[in-house]
Amino acid sequence: MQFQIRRMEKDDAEQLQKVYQRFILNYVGSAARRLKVFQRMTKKKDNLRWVALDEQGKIVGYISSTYVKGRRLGRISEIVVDPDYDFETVADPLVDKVYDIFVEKNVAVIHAGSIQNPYYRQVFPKLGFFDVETDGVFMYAIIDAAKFLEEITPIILTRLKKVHDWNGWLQISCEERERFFRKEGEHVQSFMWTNYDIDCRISLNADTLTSVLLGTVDAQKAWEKGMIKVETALRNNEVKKFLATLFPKKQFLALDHW
Amino acid sequence: MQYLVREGQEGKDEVKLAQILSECFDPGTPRQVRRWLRQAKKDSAGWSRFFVSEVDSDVVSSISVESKELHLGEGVYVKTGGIAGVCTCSDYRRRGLMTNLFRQSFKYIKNSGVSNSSLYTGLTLPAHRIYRRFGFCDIQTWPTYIKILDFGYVFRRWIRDLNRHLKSSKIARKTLQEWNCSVVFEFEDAGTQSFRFRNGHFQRLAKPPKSADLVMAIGVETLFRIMWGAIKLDGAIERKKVQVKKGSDADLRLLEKVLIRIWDE
Repeated sequence: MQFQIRRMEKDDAEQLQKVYQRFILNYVGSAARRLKVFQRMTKKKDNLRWVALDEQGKIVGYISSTYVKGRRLGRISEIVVDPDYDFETVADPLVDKVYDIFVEKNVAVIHAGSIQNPYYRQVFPKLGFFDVETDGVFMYAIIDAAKFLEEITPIILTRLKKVHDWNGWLQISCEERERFFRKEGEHVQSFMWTNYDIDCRISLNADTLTSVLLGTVDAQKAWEKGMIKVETALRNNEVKKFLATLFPKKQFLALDHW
Repeated sequence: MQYLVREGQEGKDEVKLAQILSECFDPGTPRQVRRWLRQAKKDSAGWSRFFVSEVDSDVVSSISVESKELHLGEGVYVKTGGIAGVCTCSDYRRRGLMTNLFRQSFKYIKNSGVSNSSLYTGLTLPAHRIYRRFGFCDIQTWPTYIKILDFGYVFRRWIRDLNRHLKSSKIARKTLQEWNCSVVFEFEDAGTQSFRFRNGHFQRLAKPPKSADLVMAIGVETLFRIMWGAIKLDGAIERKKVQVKKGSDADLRLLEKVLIRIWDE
């Protein structure tokens, strides 16, 4: 499929936001962005922001980059592609375009970073970029476990619905706080407390909970290592399946730094 | 030492804040600090705050809290207290100032009904230990892709940046005050580059000196990996990525500090 490339325009902000929102749904850890962020992005008058359009003229991806003249530094800040399209196919012409502009501007060095876009390794090495594993790290802390469990309840409810061959009461405990869930077929509900008999009790500390939610620890392996405790009548392979549905492996990706 | 913790005040603290931020991060101006604080406030609809600790009416450390919403799966976004701009003037480190600033920030985050906090830091920074103590866990490191088109310029710029950094970093000046050293890098893929450090100043040398104090054969990629904290100089030497042709251990230790710009022991 051929894509048309053009400079980002003022009126693109809303479409860019939609593409961004669809893109980050496949990942965890990305920040929500208000329309203003994209309006700011499209306001810049340099030629370092480009969009890829499909045959209908719909934006299917974009690249945003910056040039620091005093340092002769080109920086590719982000590449976002609609998940319905192949990342590499859309990103390649966008990167080529910006790369050529950087060369015209006589840059001395180009940086391209994101945390942790898996597609970058398909896009940049073939252009002669080398990768440096930096010592930068994203850290996360749960301050209020009860509130956090309440906030992630919609996630657990959605995933619990996908557990097909199990019904009953589920308790998730983290740092001595708990949340209860009841599943009856397609019907799932969450409760603050109950004295019903619990069919499956999952206990994990704050570190493990954030790690499995943010995709850096595999829940099944964490259970095997004793980082997650599961009290249930389910057999081992059923527990594994259950955990894989509740805490599926996700890819962490962050495009915003602070 | 007596000190107090208070909420930072826009229009009052930027000058001092710029000084301490410059020591911990890249050199910055009060104007840049003001712009950053205003932007953070705008982006978080007035929620963001910065806290400072003061010794004898002098701001010596700071921390900033910004509001973000992170996607945790299934289209659910959870508000997080993003911690940024964590810095302490090098004269006042290891005295518990940051611990108290953190307590204050966590109190603010929790009282605002936010359940969690997040931040970006470096694994090799001393602050990483403090964050672990406060319950932060490492989630993700990441690679950066780099392409160098004019290494000569990059090297010259690096020397300029080091001198700028020295101006704003007391701890860097103190660490290097006795150092007098000429260094030659023999790059497999980009010729020879050299510099001298003398009288508190880095100077790029157009030609390598005949009797340099430190001579090493290294690849450009390896140099960048050391600078970005991906590998340690010792490790690179052990793995024969760096060949030290001449130089003392003391000079090598200081060169590593210059490369990674972490001056705390």
